[in-house]
Amino acid sequence: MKIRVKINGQDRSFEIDPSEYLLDTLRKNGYMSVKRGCDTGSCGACTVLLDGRPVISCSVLSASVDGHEITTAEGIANQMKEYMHALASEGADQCGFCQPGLLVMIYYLKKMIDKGLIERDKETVRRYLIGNLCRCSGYLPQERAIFRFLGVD
Amino acid sequence: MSLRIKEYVRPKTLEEAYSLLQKEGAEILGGTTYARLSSREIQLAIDLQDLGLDEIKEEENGWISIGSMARLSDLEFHPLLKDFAGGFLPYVLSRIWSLQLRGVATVGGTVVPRWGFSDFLTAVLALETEVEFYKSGRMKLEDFLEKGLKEKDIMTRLLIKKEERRAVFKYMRNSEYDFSIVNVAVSVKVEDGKLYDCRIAVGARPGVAKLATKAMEILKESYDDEHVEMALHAVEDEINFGDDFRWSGEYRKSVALVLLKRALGEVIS
Repeated sequence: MKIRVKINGQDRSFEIDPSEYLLDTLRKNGYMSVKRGCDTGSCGACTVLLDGRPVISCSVLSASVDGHEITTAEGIANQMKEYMHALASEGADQCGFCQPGLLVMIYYLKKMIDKGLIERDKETVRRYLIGNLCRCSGYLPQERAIFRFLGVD
Repeated sequence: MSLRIKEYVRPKTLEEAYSLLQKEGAEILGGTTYARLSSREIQLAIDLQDLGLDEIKEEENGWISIGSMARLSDLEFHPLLKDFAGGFLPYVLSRIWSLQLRGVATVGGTVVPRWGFSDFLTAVLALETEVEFYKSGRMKLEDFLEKGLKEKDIMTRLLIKKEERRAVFKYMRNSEYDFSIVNVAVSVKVEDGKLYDCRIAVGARPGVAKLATKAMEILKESYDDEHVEMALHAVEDEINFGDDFRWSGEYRKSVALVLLKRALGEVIS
Protein backbone atom coordinates (compact mmCIF):
# COMPACT_ATOMS: atom_id res chain seq x y z
CA MET A 1 0.00 0.00 0.00
CA LYS A 2 1.04 3.59 -0.55
CA ILE A 3 1.32 6.29 2.13
CA ARG A 4 1.88 10.01 1.83
CA VAL A 5 3.59 11.82 4.69
CA LYS A 6 5.33 15.09 5.36
CA ILE A 7 8.77 14.42 6.81
CA ASN A 8 10.81 17.35 8.11
CA GLY A 9 8.65 19.66 6.01
CA GLN A 10 8.97 17.68 2.77
CA ASP A 11 6.16 15.73 1.10
CA ARG A 12 7.13 12.10 0.62
CA SER A 13 5.32 8.97 -0.47
CA PHE A 14 6.33 5.37 0.17
CA GLU A 15 5.18 1.92 -0.80
CA ILE A 16 4.83 -0.05 2.44
CA ASP A 17 3.63 -3.37 3.77
CA PRO A 18 0.59 -3.05 6.11
CA SER A 19 2.62 -4.76 8.87
CA GLU A 20 5.53 -2.33 8.58
CA TYR A 21 6.51 -0.02 11.42
CA LEU A 22 7.48 3.62 11.06
CA LEU A 23 11.00 2.95 12.32
CA ASP A 24 11.64 0.61 9.37
CA THR A 25 10.04 2.90 6.80
CA LEU A 26 12.10 5.87 7.97
CA ARG A 27 15.41 4.00 8.04
CA LYS A 28 14.79 2.37 4.63
CA ASN A 29 14.29 5.83 3.20
CA GLY A 30 17.41 7.43 4.58
CA TYR A 31 16.36 8.88 7.92
CA MET A 32 19.23 7.20 9.72
CA SER A 33 19.04 9.33 12.86
CA VAL A 34 16.11 7.11 13.87
CA LYS A 35 17.84 4.24 15.66
CA ARG A 36 16.72 0.69 16.27
CA GLY A 37 17.50 0.01 19.91
CA CYS A 38 15.27 -2.35 21.88
CA ASP A 39 12.54 -2.56 19.19
CA THR A 40 10.01 -3.10 22.00
CA GLY A 41 9.03 0.45 22.96
CA SER A 42 11.38 0.87 25.90
CA CYS A 43 14.64 2.61 24.98
CA GLY A 44 13.51 5.75 23.13
CA ALA A 45 16.29 5.58 20.51
CA CYS A 46 13.65 5.60 17.75
CA THR A 47 11.80 8.69 19.07
CA VAL A 48 10.34 11.01 16.42
CA LEU A 49 7.60 13.64 16.51
CA LEU A 50 4.27 12.60 15.01
CA ASP A 51 2.13 15.70 14.43
CA GLY A 52 4.30 17.41 17.02
CA ARG A 53 4.09 14.82 19.82
CA PRO A 54 6.91 12.40 20.66
CA VAL A 55 6.29 8.75 19.80
CA ILE A 56 8.33 5.57 19.68
CA SER A 57 8.47 4.88 15.96
CA CYS A 58 9.11 1.17 16.56
CA SER A 59 5.51 0.89 17.82
CA VAL A 60 3.68 3.05 15.25
CA LEU A 61 2.35 1.33 12.14
CA SER A 62 3.52 3.09 8.98
CA ALA A 63 0.03 2.73 7.52
CA SER A 64 -1.37 4.81 10.38
CA VAL A 65 0.82 7.83 9.59
CA ASP A 66 -0.61 8.29 6.09
CA GLY A 67 -1.56 11.97 5.88
CA HIS A 68 0.43 12.96 8.97
CA GLU A 69 3.59 14.90 9.70
CA ILE A 70 6.85 13.41 11.01
CA THR A 71 9.85 15.23 12.43
CA THR A 72 13.14 13.42 12.95
CA ALA A 73 16.39 14.66 14.48
CA GLU A 74 17.59 15.59 10.94
CA GLY A 75 14.74 18.09 10.69
CA ILE A 76 15.50 20.00 13.89
CA ALA A 77 19.29 19.70 14.15
CA ASN A 78 19.82 23.31 13.06
CA GLN A 79 17.52 24.58 15.80
CA MET A 80 19.27 22.46 18.42
CA LYS A 81 22.89 23.60 17.93
CA GLU A 82 23.02 25.24 21.35
CA TYR A 83 21.96 21.93 22.92
CA MET A 84 24.54 19.98 20.93
CA HIS A 85 27.27 22.42 22.06
CA ALA A 86 26.10 21.94 25.65
CA LEU A 87 26.40 18.15 25.22
CA ALA A 88 29.91 18.43 23.78
CA SER A 89 31.11 20.85 26.44
CA GLU A 90 29.83 18.59 29.22
CA GLY A 91 31.58 15.55 27.70
CA ALA A 92 28.22 13.83 27.13
CA ASP A 93 28.87 12.59 23.59
CA GLN A 94 30.10 9.01 24.29
CA CYS A 95 28.81 6.50 21.66
CA GLY A 96 26.01 8.81 20.53
CA PHE A 97 23.50 6.09 19.68
CA CYS A 98 20.79 7.45 22.00
CA GLN A 99 21.40 11.10 21.11
CA PRO A 100 19.02 11.61 18.13
CA GLY A 101 16.04 10.24 20.11
CA LEU A 102 17.07 12.30 23.12
CA LEU A 103 17.48 15.41 20.96
CA VAL A 104 13.90 15.04 19.70
CA MET A 105 12.65 14.72 23.29
CA ILE A 106 14.63 17.75 24.49
CA TYR A 107 13.26 19.79 21.57
CA TYR A 108 9.71 18.80 22.61
CA LEU A 109 10.33 19.35 26.32
CA LYS A 110 11.69 22.85 25.67
CA LYS A 111 8.52 23.76 23.78
CA MET A 112 6.29 22.33 26.53
CA ILE A 113 8.28 24.06 29.29
CA ASP A 114 8.17 27.38 27.41
CA LYS A 115 4.38 27.00 27.10
CA GLY A 116 4.13 26.30 30.83
CA LEU A 117 2.72 22.79 30.28
CA ILE A 118 5.68 21.04 31.90
CA GLU A 119 7.37 22.33 35.06
CA ARG A 120 10.91 23.67 34.71
CA ASP A 121 12.46 21.61 37.52
CA LYS A 122 14.96 18.79 37.74
CA GLU A 123 12.62 16.10 39.01
CA THR A 124 10.02 16.78 36.30
CA VAL A 125 12.58 16.85 33.49
CA ARG A 126 14.11 13.58 34.74
CA ARG A 127 10.64 12.01 34.82
CA TYR A 128 9.89 13.00 31.22
CA LEU A 129 13.21 11.57 30.07
CA ILE A 130 12.64 8.19 31.74
CA GLY A 131 11.99 6.64 28.31
CA ASN A 132 15.38 7.61 26.84
CA LEU A 133 17.93 5.02 27.84
CA CYS A 134 21.68 5.50 27.34
CA ARG A 135 23.57 2.24 26.84
CA CYS A 136 26.82 3.94 27.89
CA SER A 137 25.02 4.96 31.11
CA GLY A 138 26.40 8.45 30.61
CA TYR A 139 23.47 10.10 32.30
CA LEU A 140 25.26 12.63 34.52
CA PRO A 141 27.00 14.67 31.80
CA GLN A 142 23.83 14.44 29.67
CA GLU A 143 21.80 15.71 32.59
CA ARG A 144 24.14 18.68 33.14
CA ALA A 145 23.88 19.61 29.45
CA ILE A 146 20.09 19.19 29.39
CA PHE A 147 19.52 21.24 32.55
CA ARG A 148 21.81 23.97 31.20
CA PHE A 149 20.01 24.08 27.85
CA LEU A 150 16.54 24.06 29.42
CA GLY A 151 17.49 26.61 32.08
CA VAL A 152 16.70 24.23 34.93
CA ASP A 153 18.35 25.11 38.27
CA MET B 1 8.28 -12.14 16.90
CA SER B 2 6.10 -9.88 14.84
CA LEU B 3 2.55 -8.78 14.19
CA ARG B 4 1.43 -9.51 10.65
CA ILE B 5 -1.38 -7.50 9.10
CA LYS B 6 -2.93 -8.79 5.92
CA GLU B 7 -5.17 -5.82 5.14
CA TYR B 8 -5.39 -2.36 6.72
CA VAL B 9 -8.46 -0.12 6.43
CA ARG B 10 -9.56 3.28 7.71
CA PRO B 11 -13.35 3.45 7.67
CA LYS B 12 -15.01 6.85 7.39
CA THR B 13 -18.11 6.15 9.48
CA LEU B 14 -18.88 4.18 12.63
CA GLU B 15 -21.42 2.10 10.76
CA GLU B 16 -18.80 1.14 8.16
CA ALA B 17 -16.29 0.32 10.91
CA TYR B 18 -18.86 -1.79 12.76
CA SER B 19 -19.78 -3.67 9.64
CA LEU B 20 -16.11 -4.39 8.84
CA LEU B 21 -15.53 -5.54 12.41
CA GLN B 22 -18.12 -8.29 12.03
CA LYS B 23 -15.96 -10.00 9.38
CA GLU B 24 -13.97 -13.02 10.46
CA GLY B 25 -10.41 -12.12 11.48
CA ALA B 26 -11.20 -8.40 11.74
CA GLU B 27 -9.80 -6.45 14.69
CA ILE B 28 -9.72 -2.83 15.74
CA LEU B 29 -6.28 -1.32 16.16
CA GLY B 30 -5.75 0.56 19.41
CA GLY B 31 -2.48 2.40 19.86
CA THR B 32 -0.59 -0.74 18.68
CA THR B 33 1.96 -0.44 21.50
CA TYR B 34 1.10 -3.83 22.99
CA ALA B 35 0.18 -5.46 19.67
CA ARG B 36 3.78 -4.70 18.68
CA LEU B 37 4.96 -7.33 21.12
CA SER B 38 2.68 -10.08 19.86
CA SER B 39 3.31 -12.72 17.25
CA ARG B 40 0.10 -13.27 15.32
CA GLU B 41 -1.74 -12.38 12.15
CA ILE B 42 -4.61 -9.92 11.80
CA GLN B 43 -6.64 -10.54 8.64
CA LEU B 44 -8.27 -7.12 8.63
CA ALA B 45 -6.88 -4.31 10.81
CA ILE B 46 -9.37 -1.48 11.33
CA ASP B 47 -7.92 1.92 12.20
CA LEU B 48 -10.53 4.31 13.69
CA GLN B 49 -8.47 7.49 13.35
CA ASP B 50 -10.77 9.08 10.73
CA LEU B 51 -13.90 8.84 12.92
CA GLY B 52 -13.24 11.87 15.14
CA LEU B 53 -13.06 9.71 18.25
CA ASP B 54 -10.11 11.58 19.77
CA GLU B 55 -12.06 14.47 21.26
CA ILE B 56 -11.85 15.37 24.95
CA LYS B 57 -14.59 17.73 26.11
CA GLU B 58 -16.96 18.58 28.93
CA GLU B 59 -20.55 17.52 28.39
CA GLU B 60 -23.38 19.84 29.42
CA ASN B 61 -24.66 17.32 31.96
CA GLY B 62 -21.47 17.28 34.05
CA TRP B 63 -19.47 14.48 32.48
CA ILE B 64 -16.04 14.63 30.90
CA SER B 65 -16.17 12.83 27.58
CA ILE B 66 -12.97 11.22 26.30
CA GLY B 67 -12.95 9.72 22.82
CA SER B 68 -11.63 6.18 22.57
CA MET B 69 -8.91 7.25 20.13
CA ALA B 70 -7.56 9.98 22.43
CA ARG B 71 -3.91 9.33 23.27
CA LEU B 72 -2.86 9.03 26.89
CA SER B 73 -0.55 12.03 26.35
CA ASP B 74 -3.54 14.06 25.05
CA LEU B 75 -5.22 13.49 28.42
CA GLU B 76 -2.08 14.21 30.38
CA PHE B 77 -1.84 17.78 29.10
CA HIS B 78 -5.53 18.56 28.57
CA PRO B 79 -6.69 21.70 30.44
CA LEU B 80 -9.98 20.00 31.40
CA LEU B 81 -8.16 17.40 33.49
CA LYS B 82 -5.50 19.67 34.97
CA ASP B 83 -7.57 20.74 37.97
CA PHE B 84 -10.13 17.92 38.08
CA ALA B 85 -9.73 15.94 41.35
CA GLY B 86 -6.58 17.90 42.12
CA GLY B 87 -4.84 16.89 38.90
CA PHE B 88 -5.27 13.20 39.77
CA LEU B 89 -5.35 11.83 36.21
CA PRO B 90 -2.38 13.82 34.81
CA TYR B 91 -0.39 12.63 37.85
CA VAL B 92 -1.27 8.97 37.19
CA LEU B 93 -0.66 9.29 33.45
CA SER B 94 2.74 10.92 33.94
CA ARG B 95 3.81 7.79 35.85
CA ILE B 96 2.87 5.34 33.07
CA TRP B 97 5.92 4.10 31.17
CA SER B 98 7.34 6.90 28.93
CA LEU B 99 5.90 10.03 27.34
CA GLN B 100 6.74 8.55 23.92
CA LEU B 101 4.64 5.46 24.68
CA ARG B 102 1.80 7.58 26.05
CA GLY B 103 1.89 9.45 22.73
CA VAL B 104 1.03 6.19 20.96
CA ALA B 105 -1.25 4.38 23.46
CA THR B 106 -4.97 5.18 23.19
CA VAL B 107 -7.73 5.21 25.79
CA GLY B 108 -9.69 2.57 23.86
CA GLY B 109 -6.59 0.43 23.42
CA THR B 110 -6.25 0.43 27.22
CA VAL B 111 -9.90 -0.03 28.23
CA VAL B 112 -11.17 -2.58 25.70
CA PRO B 113 -8.54 -5.31 26.26
CA ARG B 114 -9.01 -4.84 30.05
CA TRP B 115 -5.27 -5.00 30.66
CA GLY B 116 -4.47 -6.32 34.12
CA PHE B 117 -1.26 -4.28 34.37
CA SER B 118 -2.98 -0.98 33.64
CA ASP B 119 -2.52 1.96 36.03
CA PHE B 120 -5.00 4.04 34.03
CA LEU B 121 -7.87 1.57 34.54
CA THR B 122 -7.34 1.47 38.31
CA ALA B 123 -7.32 5.27 38.42
CA VAL B 124 -10.50 5.83 36.37
CA LEU B 125 -12.28 3.00 38.17
CA ALA B 126 -11.82 4.92 41.42
CA LEU B 127 -13.77 7.79 39.83
CA GLU B 128 -17.36 7.51 38.69
CA THR B 129 -16.69 6.34 35.16
CA GLU B 130 -18.73 4.87 32.34
CA VAL B 131 -17.79 3.42 28.98
CA GLU B 132 -19.81 3.78 25.79
CA PHE B 133 -19.94 1.36 22.85
CA TYR B 134 -21.46 1.97 19.44
CA LYS B 135 -24.11 -0.76 19.64
CA SER B 136 -23.99 -1.95 23.26
CA GLY B 137 -24.49 1.58 24.60
CA ARG B 138 -23.30 3.05 27.86
CA MET B 139 -22.39 1.03 30.96
CA LYS B 140 -20.51 1.43 34.23
CA LEU B 141 -16.80 0.80 33.81
CA GLU B 142 -16.82 -1.71 36.68
CA ASP B 143 -19.48 -3.76 34.89
CA PHE B 144 -17.53 -3.78 31.63
CA LEU B 145 -14.28 -4.72 33.38
CA GLU B 146 -16.00 -7.59 35.15
CA LYS B 147 -18.15 -8.99 32.35
CA GLY B 148 -16.75 -7.67 29.08
CA LEU B 149 -19.00 -7.69 26.00
CA LYS B 150 -20.80 -10.62 24.45
CA GLU B 151 -20.38 -9.35 20.88
CA LYS B 152 -17.78 -7.45 18.88
CA ASP B 153 -18.37 -3.74 19.27
CA ILE B 154 -16.59 -0.41 19.01
CA MET B 155 -15.79 1.67 22.07
CA THR B 156 -16.63 5.28 21.33
CA ARG B 157 -16.06 7.14 24.61
CA LEU B 158 -15.00 6.99 28.24
CA LEU B 159 -17.10 9.25 30.45
CA ILE B 160 -15.96 10.53 33.84
CA LYS B 161 -18.38 12.29 36.17
CA LYS B 162 -17.07 15.78 36.81
CA GLU B 163 -17.63 16.20 40.53
CA GLU B 164 -15.55 17.45 43.40
CA ARG B 165 -13.45 14.46 44.38
CA ARG B 166 -10.26 14.00 46.31
CA ALA B 167 -8.28 11.13 44.78
CA VAL B 168 -5.02 9.33 45.49
CA PHE B 169 -3.11 6.73 43.44
CA LYS B 170 -0.37 4.47 44.84
CA TYR B 171 1.71 1.79 43.19
CA MET B 172 4.58 -0.59 43.77
CA ARG B 173 7.03 -1.48 41.00
CA ASN B 174 10.36 -3.25 40.82
CA SER B 175 11.70 -0.04 39.27
CA GLU B 176 10.03 3.25 38.42
CA TYR B 177 10.28 2.53 34.67
CA ASP B 178 8.22 -0.67 34.79
CA PHE B 179 4.64 -1.87 35.07
CA SER B 180 3.06 -1.74 38.52
CA ILE B 181 3.12 -5.04 40.37
CA VAL B 182 0.16 -3.85 42.34
CA ASN B 183 -1.66 -0.51 42.32
CA VAL B 184 -4.52 1.10 44.24
CA ALA B 185 -6.65 4.20 43.78
CA VAL B 186 -9.04 5.78 46.26
CA SER B 187 -11.36 8.73 45.80
CA VAL B 188 -13.99 10.44 47.94
CA LYS B 189 -16.61 12.95 47.00
CA VAL B 190 -16.36 16.21 48.93
CA GLU B 191 -19.50 18.28 49.57
CA ASP B 192 -19.63 21.16 52.05
CA GLY B 193 -16.45 19.84 53.63
CA LYS B 194 -17.97 16.39 54.20
CA LEU B 195 -16.81 13.14 52.62
CA TYR B 196 -19.14 10.82 50.70
CA ASP B 197 -19.06 7.93 48.32
CA CYS B 198 -15.57 6.51 48.80
CA ARG B 199 -14.46 4.43 45.82
CA ILE B 200 -11.60 1.97 46.21
CA ALA B 201 -9.98 0.27 43.20
CA VAL B 202 -7.23 -2.33 43.27
CA GLY B 203 -5.37 -3.26 40.09
CA ALA B 204 -2.42 -5.25 38.72
CA ARG B 205 -3.51 -8.06 41.05
CA PRO B 206 -2.29 -9.19 38.40
CA GLY B 207 -5.88 -9.37 37.11
CA VAL B 208 -7.78 -6.35 35.86
CA ALA B 209 -8.68 -3.57 38.29
CA LYS B 210 -11.61 -4.24 40.59
CA LEU B 211 -13.68 -2.21 43.03
CA ALA B 212 -13.56 -3.21 46.70
CA THR B 213 -17.32 -2.86 47.12
CA LYS B 214 -17.59 -4.29 50.66
CA ALA B 215 -14.92 -1.90 51.92
CA MET B 216 -16.71 0.97 50.17
CA GLU B 217 -19.93 -0.03 51.92
CA ILE B 218 -18.23 -0.05 55.35
CA LEU B 219 -16.87 3.46 54.81
CA LYS B 220 -20.37 4.76 54.13
CA GLU B 221 -20.93 4.55 57.90
CA SER B 222 -17.86 6.44 59.03
CA TYR B 223 -14.32 7.38 58.05
CA ASP B 224 -12.87 6.91 61.55
CA ASP B 225 -9.86 4.69 62.24
CA GLU B 226 -12.00 1.73 63.27
CA HIS B 227 -13.96 1.74 60.00
CA VAL B 228 -10.79 2.17 57.97
CA GLU B 229 -9.38 -0.97 59.65
CA MET B 230 -12.64 -2.82 58.98
CA ALA B 231 -12.53 -1.71 55.34
CA LEU B 232 -8.97 -3.01 54.97
CA HIS B 233 -10.03 -6.40 56.38
CA ALA B 234 -12.89 -6.44 53.87
CA VAL B 235 -10.44 -5.80 51.01
CA GLU B 236 -8.35 -8.72 52.24
CA ASP B 237 -11.41 -10.95 52.02
CA GLU B 238 -13.02 -9.80 48.80
CA ILE B 239 -10.14 -9.01 46.42
CA ASN B 240 -8.20 -11.89 44.88
CA PHE B 241 -4.49 -11.54 44.36
CA GLY B 242 -2.70 -13.96 42.06
CA ASP B 243 0.87 -15.13 41.49
CA ASP B 244 2.93 -14.37 38.42
CA PHE B 245 6.63 -14.52 37.53
CA ARG B 246 7.29 -11.28 39.40
CA TRP B 247 5.47 -11.51 42.72
CA SER B 248 3.32 -13.94 44.68
CA GLY B 249 -0.33 -13.18 45.36
CA GLU B 250 0.37 -13.20 49.09
CA TYR B 251 3.03 -10.52 48.79
CA ARG B 252 0.81 -8.47 46.46
CA LYS B 253 -1.96 -8.58 49.04
CA SER B 254 0.36 -7.43 51.86
CA VAL B 255 1.64 -4.51 49.80
CA ALA B 256 -1.82 -3.57 48.51
CA LEU B 257 -3.13 -3.27 52.07
CA VAL B 258 -0.27 -0.97 53.05
CA LEU B 259 -0.79 1.18 49.94
CA LEU B 260 -4.54 1.32 50.61
CA LYS B 261 -4.07 2.37 54.22
CA ARG B 262 -1.81 5.21 53.08
CA ALA B 263 -4.19 6.22 50.27
CA LEU B 264 -7.21 6.21 52.60
CA GLY B 265 -5.26 8.23 55.15
CA GLU B 266 -4.47 10.84 52.51
CA VAL B 267 -7.98 11.22 51.09
CA ILE B 268 -9.63 11.29 54.53
CA SER B 269 -7.20 13.69 56.21
